[in-house]
Amino acid sequence: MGYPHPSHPKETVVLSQYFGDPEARSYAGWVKRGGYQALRKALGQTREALVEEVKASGLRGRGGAGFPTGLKWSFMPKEVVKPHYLVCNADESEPGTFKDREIMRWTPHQLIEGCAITAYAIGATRCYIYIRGEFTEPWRIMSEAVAEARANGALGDDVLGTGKRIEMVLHRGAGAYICGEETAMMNSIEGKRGNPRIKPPFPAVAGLFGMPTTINNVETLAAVPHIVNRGAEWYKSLCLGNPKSTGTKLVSVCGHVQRPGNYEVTMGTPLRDLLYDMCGGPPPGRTFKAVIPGGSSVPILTREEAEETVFDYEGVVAKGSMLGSAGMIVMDDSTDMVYQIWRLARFYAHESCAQCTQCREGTAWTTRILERILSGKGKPADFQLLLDLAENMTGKTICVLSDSCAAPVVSGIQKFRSEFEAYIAGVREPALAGV
Amino acid sequence: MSGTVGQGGGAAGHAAEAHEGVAPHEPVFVGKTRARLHRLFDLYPTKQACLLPALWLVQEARGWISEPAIGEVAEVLELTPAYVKGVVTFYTMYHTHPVGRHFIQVCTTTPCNVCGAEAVVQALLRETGCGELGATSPDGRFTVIEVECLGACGFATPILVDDDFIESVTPEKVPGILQRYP
Repeated sequence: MGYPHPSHPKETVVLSQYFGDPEARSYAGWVKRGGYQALRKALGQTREALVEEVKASGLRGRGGAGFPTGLKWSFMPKEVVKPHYLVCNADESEPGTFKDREIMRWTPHQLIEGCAITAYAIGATRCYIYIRGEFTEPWRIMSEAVAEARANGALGDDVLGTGKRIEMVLHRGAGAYICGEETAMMNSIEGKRGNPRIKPPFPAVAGLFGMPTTINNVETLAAVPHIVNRGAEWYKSLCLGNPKSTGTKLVSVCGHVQRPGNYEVTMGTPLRDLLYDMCGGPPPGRTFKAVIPGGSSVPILTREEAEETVFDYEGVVAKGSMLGSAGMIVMDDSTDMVYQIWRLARFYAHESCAQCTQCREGTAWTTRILERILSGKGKPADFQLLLDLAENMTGKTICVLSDSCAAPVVSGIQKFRSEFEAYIAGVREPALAGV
Repeated sequence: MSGTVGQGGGAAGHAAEAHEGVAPHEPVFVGKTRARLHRLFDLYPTKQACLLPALWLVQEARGWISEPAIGEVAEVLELTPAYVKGVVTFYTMYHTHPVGRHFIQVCTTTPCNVCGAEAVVQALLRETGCGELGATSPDGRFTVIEVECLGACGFATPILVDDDFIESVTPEKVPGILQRYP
């Protein structure tokens, strides 16, 4: 299968096997495809054994941070003396990323099964799935699937006849990028403004409603049933050389490529294969100029850097960026880098929750300085001003939204300085009317 | 707009009535909507946590969230109106003023921007008669706003018309899409 294109021979299809197959959406269709066997198997094991299995698999958080999943689970208290919660982060809002949406649209039961296994492993009886408000179609499909899973006994008071209890509640976001940050998400579920919380305490100690909580991304949770079914050794073997990055990764590719879409690749695949073979290269007559490899919050790579990148956590870091959510924004030689960096800065200025001064002021002023440059009124001193601002926005706030705004600005100035200079020198026509 | 928000649903209605020219507030949480609200109480350990879903119920029923409705939500969830207003205004999808019969959200963040999203915005503003972002067309049919990343970057440019998520919109497709929303 595959959606929107048939799977490419260079893909390793695990999570995306049934993308584009509408029959996989129903409970019966999922069971026919081997669904809910992993849940049954997991419920027959101890919690500890499941945590160890996932630890051994090398699975790391697919939402962006890449934190080892099994280790995160192991932070939960061993004894359940008060309610434990699982939160599934389906607030996919990182520009360039659209993989969780496809998991929910095509294989809702894959996610429900992963959530149910994880809830059991961490001692939770209730899982909240936080779906961004704009995802109307995934919401509808997930609502139907949760109801169907409950009607068939895969959720509820007696899961698959084991006497174990697992409830799932869908919670709809209402338009706020920052709610994808795990502590902001917990506040949002609690009926509060989505302001990130200071850590510690970490969620495993005092999370949702003050209770021990684990928050995992959709793609991370969707991988769990496969690990339970086929074992940690199999998952670990999905790796092209670097044992720290294992498994498959859904890569969302958008922008200037011939075949944008989601591609599932083994960790360690050359980025060049993704760009040229799977995505078909740039539009006719164009060449690539830049790639943002991990969602908009990571440093920009030049074409040359991108072509040499090994696509896994460490490989992208080695080239000066991050794997992040693997939402890849590709830009060809027709792109005005200053304009697009301004557009990203505007995104962060709009989405800042405004708690921290460095972020509230920094994202807004970064945007305004870039506007000044784009309107032909920039000054040579603006380079240093932007870099100083960026320094004050990095590593100084409660969450990393501010750092995320600084990353494309700093890397953009480093790598595409001449485009900024062309605006400042008046060589390039102003792109904006003025500020 | 009434500057006074009463202690609750009914009271908020009376407070609004006292101000000349302001229509009385019809309580939202009656009948089926009240039943849906009560079902929410089973899903969360606190009433406060029902706030986001309760606000969605209001918007579904009324199209937007008025000051008296904020008062009513505060009453049913045992919160203060000021607290509820603080939450309403944090989230961009809650409307704090009336909008057109069909509400259109267009993504213009970088991935869509490099694929021509701004031309889609221009086509929508022209074809709907809205003229500018955030404005409602003179016939009350449409409101168009620009939004940040809709999470469908590989299907540029996505738009949301009410609850319909429409992918790969180009300026040429705009008139045909709008026809489906009388």
